[in-house]
Amino acid sequence: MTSRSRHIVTIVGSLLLVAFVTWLLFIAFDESAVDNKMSTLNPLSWQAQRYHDVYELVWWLSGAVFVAIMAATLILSILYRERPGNEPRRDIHGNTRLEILWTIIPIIIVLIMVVPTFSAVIAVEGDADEDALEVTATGHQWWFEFTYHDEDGNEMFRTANEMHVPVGRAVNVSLQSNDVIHAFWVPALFGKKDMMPGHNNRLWFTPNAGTEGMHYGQCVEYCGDSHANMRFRIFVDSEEDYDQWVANQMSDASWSNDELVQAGRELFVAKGCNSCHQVAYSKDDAPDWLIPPTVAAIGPNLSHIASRTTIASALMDRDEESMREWLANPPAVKPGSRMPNLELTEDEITKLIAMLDSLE
Amino acid sequence: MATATDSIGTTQNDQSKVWEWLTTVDHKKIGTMYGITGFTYFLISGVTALAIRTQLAVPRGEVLSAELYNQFFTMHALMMIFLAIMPMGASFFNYFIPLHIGARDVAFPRLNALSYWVFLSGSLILFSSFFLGGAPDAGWFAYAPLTDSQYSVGSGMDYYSVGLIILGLSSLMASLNFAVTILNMRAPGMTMMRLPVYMWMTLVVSFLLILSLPIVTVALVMLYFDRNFTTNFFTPETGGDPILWQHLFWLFGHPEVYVLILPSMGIVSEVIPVFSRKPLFGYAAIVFAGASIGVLGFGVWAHHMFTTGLGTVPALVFSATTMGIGVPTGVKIFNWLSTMYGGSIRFTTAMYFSVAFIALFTIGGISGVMHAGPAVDSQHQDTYFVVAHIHYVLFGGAIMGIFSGIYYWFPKMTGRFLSETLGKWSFWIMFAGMNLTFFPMHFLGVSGMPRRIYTYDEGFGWEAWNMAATIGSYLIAVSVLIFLVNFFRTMRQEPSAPDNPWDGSTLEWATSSPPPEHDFDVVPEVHSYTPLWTNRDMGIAPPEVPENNHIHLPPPSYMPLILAIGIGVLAVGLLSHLALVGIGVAVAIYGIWGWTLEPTE
Repeated sequence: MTSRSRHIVTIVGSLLLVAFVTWLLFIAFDESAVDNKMSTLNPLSWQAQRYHDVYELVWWLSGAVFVAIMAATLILSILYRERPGNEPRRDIHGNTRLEILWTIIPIIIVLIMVVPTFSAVIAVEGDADEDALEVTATGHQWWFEFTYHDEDGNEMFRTANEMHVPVGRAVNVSLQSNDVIHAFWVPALFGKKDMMPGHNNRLWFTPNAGTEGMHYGQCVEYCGDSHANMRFRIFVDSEEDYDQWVANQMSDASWSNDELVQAGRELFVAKGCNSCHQVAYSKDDAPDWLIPPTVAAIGPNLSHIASRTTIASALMDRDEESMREWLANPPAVKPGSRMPNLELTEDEITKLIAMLDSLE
Repeated sequence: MATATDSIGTTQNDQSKVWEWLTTVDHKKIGTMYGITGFTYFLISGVTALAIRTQLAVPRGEVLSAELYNQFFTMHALMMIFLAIMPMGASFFNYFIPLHIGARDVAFPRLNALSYWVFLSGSLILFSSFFLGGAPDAGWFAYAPLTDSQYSVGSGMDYYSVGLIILGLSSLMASLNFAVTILNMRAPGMTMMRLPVYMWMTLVVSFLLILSLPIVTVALVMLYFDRNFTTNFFTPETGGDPILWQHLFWLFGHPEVYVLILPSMGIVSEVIPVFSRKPLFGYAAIVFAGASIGVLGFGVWAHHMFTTGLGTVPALVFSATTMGIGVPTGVKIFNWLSTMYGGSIRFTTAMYFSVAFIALFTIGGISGVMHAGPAVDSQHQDTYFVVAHIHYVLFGGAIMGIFSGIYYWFPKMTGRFLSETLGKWSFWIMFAGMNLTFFPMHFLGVSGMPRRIYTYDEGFGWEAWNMAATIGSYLIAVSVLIFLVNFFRTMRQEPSAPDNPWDGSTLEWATSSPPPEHDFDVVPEVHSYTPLWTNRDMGIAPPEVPENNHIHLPPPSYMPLILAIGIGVLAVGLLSHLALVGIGVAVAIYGIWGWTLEPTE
């Protein structure tokens, strides 16, 4: 084979090989990520879409650089490996023109990335819409608390680990922390932002029409033992469903005279559950001893726990089996959990579950 | 005469031999000790990585508890960074700075010994935390207020702060020593622009450490005070601010990344021209690119903090500087590739590792630029995408470069050749394992898998790639085992290496393999940045050895060891009983006293 045809075969072969590998990687990227619960590739708000557009641009640029460098490495390694008659070109020390050229190429690539990045960040980091829903999300070791506010900024109600938002309306989330740094992240709706103690961070997003349903979120700033177990959900509701949900959350905790539920309520106080967890019963229904003392929210507000789909910071579905496992030994489920093992008997757990299930 | 490596691999019973190593001020012996210590920690840290990968192989893994997992991922990073990659880098620095620049030793040989012994005591303090009440578990970045005594109840974070202060002290002394040596002790004719690229990168690294270590030391002292004397620097309830820690930490932490990668860039810049058998393409551009990476490295720290609510303008400024660092990095990659162009490349194991460095480091560089802006970063930060990125830079980059250096310089350091056959097996298995471990982490990242989680549920689409990564990590372990077999087999052979087996162009190849204690009988004159090639081409004969070649070498001293023990005891006192601090200070003062009065002739 002549030197010229050897060059051509090597270059074409290497390019094809690298292109093939890149195509495989592309398939893997796409196939393995797009349909996942926490995928970052399915933006469902215009804000997330704006950032995703930047990602797509950067992705293609990166892909091109990847193919170019990998192919060049391969081609040079094959063409210039030691063989008889292949004398090294000792005279080549550099080439000013070439070096200027490849200083300029990365500068151009950087500029292509900088401009859309800047405009996207400025657009998305700006103030939220005037009529935005105001929610404060507070990170605790290891659960999320959500406090809803009315137009005047007054607190309406608190809930935990499951956040409901109406479709098509901007949501302005104020991010707080009660202890260490946590981060709020629902990849489908928006990129993450840290919940810094002593700082007032915020982010905002507007769920697109047609995105009604459940979206997964998780704490993504390492926050201690059970960082892995600090998850939450966002439910995008239709206007009606959302209004109904708000009305329910605003109402007093539902009252039932069922015997098991009553026994559960007595245990709830006797075991000291109410020193961390609030349940807002109406004063008309409940005896004084059951009305909780005004305490800081050490644990999630349970007034409407039966309206949630999960327990233990969205670690488990809210079903009988999981509730039993959780109440029997919380730190076994969530290492380091502030909720201690109260050594409850099976009978006591049954009563507590009856009580909790009544809190719709 | 004793050479630096006589005793490797053979049992030492001869007490005087032990004493010789304990009191040595020979840069080659000290470099060897750095190397062996660093590689030992590399193995230990590798075991923690295997445990981590085993835990994550399947959803809801039950190999490690949450507590142990958190200690392991924290210590994996701390050990790899401070106890493995940095000392392995320091090992080559120690061994080769004088040999590269044609000097007899570093500028301050006893300070050099002190650096090693202080490093050893700091590393033992940090490592011993595993057995003394729990290792640090708040991540190597140790974000306040999680590190406060309220949230980190055990003593792990005290070991972290004290251990890193001691290790920083060691690096600071070593860096000052290296910078002074390179600036002042170059061979006749070796101007700065004839300095080997590896020496340039060493110089840049030294200045990075001299400028950044004081910052983190301040932060670590504040952390120690917060935890032990409730000073409230970082606690928000009492007026402190956790963001302060992040600024101080990353102002050190980002230059630190370049401290880890630049030495390997230097090694690659030596290996590629030698095995391509032509000079480095664009020497000046590579030097300036390396130096500008060092300078820019101080202006990008807040890209670690895009999600902390920096504000739009700072976020954009730091995003621009971060993308800007891609420019000199790109220049380096192009110049390495151009060095191969027109060459006659001998694919030795060292060259394999260097070419792999180009490819793998490029991937790490690309993924770094991808999330250099707040837009993409907001979806990538603290996911496995970033884990993939740092491991392509630090494993694909730093570790591949170090292995390249080991294979390249092994004949010079020991007089023996590592087996090329085993070396290539080790290389290909490591290359495959490395990519199988870390490439899928990109997929996990865009699939939303957070970092630093000890467990995950099935159904998120993370199972297959986690299993792949775990299999890959075992392949890496196999490749390291093959390397160890290669090492010990080679050390049993008789030394046979000639002075310049690879036809290298730099001064270390002008002396015997291994070099004599005084390095060079006579230092050759330097006329270009490839001195041995130029001297050969120009027919300049090696200088003749004068008849009465009297070479003054510094005498051995045990004072550095005593001073280091004093500092070690002082540190242990900070972690246990303050009375020990007094004893430590007394021992240290005795060491300084003895050092001052010691004769140097």
